[in-house]
Amino acid sequence: MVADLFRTKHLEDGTKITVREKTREDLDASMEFYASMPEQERELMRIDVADRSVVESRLQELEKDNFFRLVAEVDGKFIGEAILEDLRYGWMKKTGEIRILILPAYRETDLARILSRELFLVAARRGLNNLIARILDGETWMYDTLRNLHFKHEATQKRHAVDLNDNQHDVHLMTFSLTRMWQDIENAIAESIASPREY
Amino acid sequence: MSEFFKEVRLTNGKKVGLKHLGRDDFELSLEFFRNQPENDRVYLRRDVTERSVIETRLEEIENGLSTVIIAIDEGRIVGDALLYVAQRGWFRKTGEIRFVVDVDYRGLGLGTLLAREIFMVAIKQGLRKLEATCMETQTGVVMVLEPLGFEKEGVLKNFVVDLRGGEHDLILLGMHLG
Repeated sequence: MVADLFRTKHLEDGTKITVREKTREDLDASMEFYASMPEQERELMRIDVADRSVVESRLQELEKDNFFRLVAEVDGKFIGEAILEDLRYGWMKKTGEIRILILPAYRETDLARILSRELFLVAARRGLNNLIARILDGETWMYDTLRNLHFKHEATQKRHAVDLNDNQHDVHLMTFSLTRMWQDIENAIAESIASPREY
Repeated sequence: MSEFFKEVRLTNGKKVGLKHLGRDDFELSLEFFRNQPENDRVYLRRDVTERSVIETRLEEIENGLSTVIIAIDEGRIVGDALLYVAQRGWFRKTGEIRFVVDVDYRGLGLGTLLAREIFMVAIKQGLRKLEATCMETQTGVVMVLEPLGFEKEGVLKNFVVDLRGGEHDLILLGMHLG
């Protein structure tokens, strides 16, 4: 598969990164990336990312056009991943679900913002109005990151999920309105045209 | 799949049969959904008047993802209750239930009878929780589920669209089984 999206960017500290679409050929890099995540966080992931066959089957889902995955690389190694699943049918046809994973060493950077912006653009091209994220009660970093990205905490579903060891967890539902974001941008542009600043 | 069949009595005294939906029921199932008032159908999660959607439902049953119990009266389906469980991931112990009762059989306790049968299936499968979601317009769903122990867990404002494109709030309901 040829990646459609390929960008070179710089983090705030100057680190040069590549952001591109994940492909089916990224199995080894994915395994290395997941193995570098803290063990406590791996246990809370939706699938057993230590199992090569499970990760491989996930990569095959990229063949379906409702799955979209971005990776951020430094020197050929994954440092972050962002996932958009376009829920697309029935009620949820205007909704996408997102997940963002970032290595601890890069969590204090603006990488989450860079990846989320790219996903927002992909979501817009797909005509989505809303994004949803489901976060387990132990995924503190993920929760805080999404709050910083202006996701809204809507509900907590008590003991709604089980981790890899069958322990039950609350699920926090967070949403982001793309419709409102685009409207805010349009309003800001209209305002700047109506009241141009002098430079 | 076991040959499940059970006769239940509605509050008006009429008896209807409950059984699992199978491939032989394809046309009856399509007819059932197509016969529901358009104003009700528009709020359903999927457009079940499409043959492809009925086919997907049957495939989900055959793949072990879902169980559907139907109510039969005089050779036609008058109610449909579904339990869906993901096979892997976080939600493998949480079942999602959905049900539709024929417009002429509402208010007769059929929704409650179907929900109870689905609960039994969920308990046998070792599930720990059930969830249901509905639009704010689907007041009947909440009326059936709350007395059975479901509690409202949240409302997502203007979050889902009906089949005509209208935006609605999504109500989240949940019930712990153990």
